[in-house]
Amino acid sequence: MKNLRLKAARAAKDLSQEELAAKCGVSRQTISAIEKGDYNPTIRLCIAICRALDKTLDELFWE
Amino acid sequence: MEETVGIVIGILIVIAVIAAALFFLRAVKDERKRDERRYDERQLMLRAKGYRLGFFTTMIAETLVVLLLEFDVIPAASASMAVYTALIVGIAVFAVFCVMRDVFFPLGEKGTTSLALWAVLALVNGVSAGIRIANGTMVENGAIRFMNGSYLVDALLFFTILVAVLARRLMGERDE
Repeated sequence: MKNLRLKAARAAKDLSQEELAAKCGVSRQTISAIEKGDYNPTIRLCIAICRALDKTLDELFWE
Repeated sequence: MEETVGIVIGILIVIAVIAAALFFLRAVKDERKRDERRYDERQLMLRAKGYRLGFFTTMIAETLVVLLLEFDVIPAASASMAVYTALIVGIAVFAVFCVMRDVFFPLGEKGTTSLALWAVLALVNGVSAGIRIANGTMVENGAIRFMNGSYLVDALLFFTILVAVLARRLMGERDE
């Protein structure tokens, strides 16, 4: 299932996938895979993404 | 004819020596940056899948080779060549799988140096194989020996990885 909330939060911060990936220490393709719903990240990466986007886990990942 | 072959081989040796020197310098530079080379969690997970795929492909290919040798479908003189080819097939499967899933190169590495190196290796091995095919020495007494056939298999391996990386780059650009 696509993670549109992550995509929207990233766009709201005016960050590209590449920039968000650099902030989280992962590859651009990993961010792309999470947004597309092709990869289910570990809690550690979820937290890193939330910190980079100033969001909570509930806001980005909880259904 | 022999003079032309000598010139071609000479040029190839010069190219190979330059490539090896560049590769060595790059390797020294990379060694210094070793701590910076790492894969993220998705890459590690998929690489493990790639290793499994490559391993089982090699096992199946080697079993096939043994059966084909046992039933004399492959001549005994080609045994080492057949075993080597099966091994290279496993490596190619691993490499192409990793390239297509964007997990071949570590974080932050574009792989431009590797691409150039593979291109040189594919060319050098391809020309060496081509010369042997043209001379008619690739197949001797109905068998392909390792000393001749390995050039062709190596050229195909490097060419396959090269094409896979270039294709994936094109696909990735569209994806962005």
